[in-house]
Amino acid sequence: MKKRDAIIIAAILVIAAALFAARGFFTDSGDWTVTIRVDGKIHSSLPLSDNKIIMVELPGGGYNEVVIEAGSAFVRSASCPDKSCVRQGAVSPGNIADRYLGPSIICLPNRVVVELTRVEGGGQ
Amino acid sequence: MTTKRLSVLGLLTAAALVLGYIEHIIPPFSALPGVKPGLANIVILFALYRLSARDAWLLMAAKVLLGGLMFAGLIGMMYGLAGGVLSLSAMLLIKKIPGVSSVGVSVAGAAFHNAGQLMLAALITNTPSLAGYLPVLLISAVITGLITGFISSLMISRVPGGITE
Repeated sequence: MKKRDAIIIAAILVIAAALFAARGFFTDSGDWTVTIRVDGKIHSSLPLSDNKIIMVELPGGGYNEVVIEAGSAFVRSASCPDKSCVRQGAVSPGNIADRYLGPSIICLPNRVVVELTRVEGGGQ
Repeated sequence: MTTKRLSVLGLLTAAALVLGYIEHIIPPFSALPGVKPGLANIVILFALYRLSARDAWLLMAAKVLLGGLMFAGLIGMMYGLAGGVLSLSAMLLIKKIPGVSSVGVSVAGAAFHNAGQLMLAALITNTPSLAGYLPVLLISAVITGLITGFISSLMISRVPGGITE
């Protein structure tokens, strides 16, 4: 490892930081909708561009706390025993292709599905 | 092509494929898609320093083609090619800069490998917003590039040049 190696590494990290700061320009979050379904029925449907916390309260007393933030949606906390929905992490337009569950976050115990969909006319 | 060069290239191709295969079968150590060690680049780096640019290209092509046929699949082959071509081009350019060691070349190669794959993913899925994922991949490239760079610098310092002559 030499001094110029460190310069290359620093340059890459600076580019990463700059891209991170500018990432708003790359996201087309306005074209996407977050749909939350409970037992297959639509609970709520919100644009991904909203920064919001939705408390999905279930008839049996359970809950899933869905957060829409910075062009992504995730479940922050839930009453379910396995917390799989929390561990499934955030879904955003950029990571749908790479996620095992594609555009969805699924909580099987609570039968809650959070799904990211492209709005009609958004183009694909 | 001399018999010696053919044998060395065959050996390095096998090494690159085994490293690629290990990476393919171990569970991902990170939840982030696309974040992987890139162990096969150790072999490509070694070839860059101890063989020639042409041999490095041959190894990269063989690794992508055979790796695709054996485990990565057709789509994996396409991503491997996009990453490999961009990565090796970048490494050849960075290597020309005086005062840069194989560690710097490795980090640059990893960064461009990830950038190439992400560009292809953005094209294929028609999702320009994927560019927002690039910072994550760049930071992971710095970490994995440092590790593979140090390993390859050990190999390069221990194996003399001219092994194909």
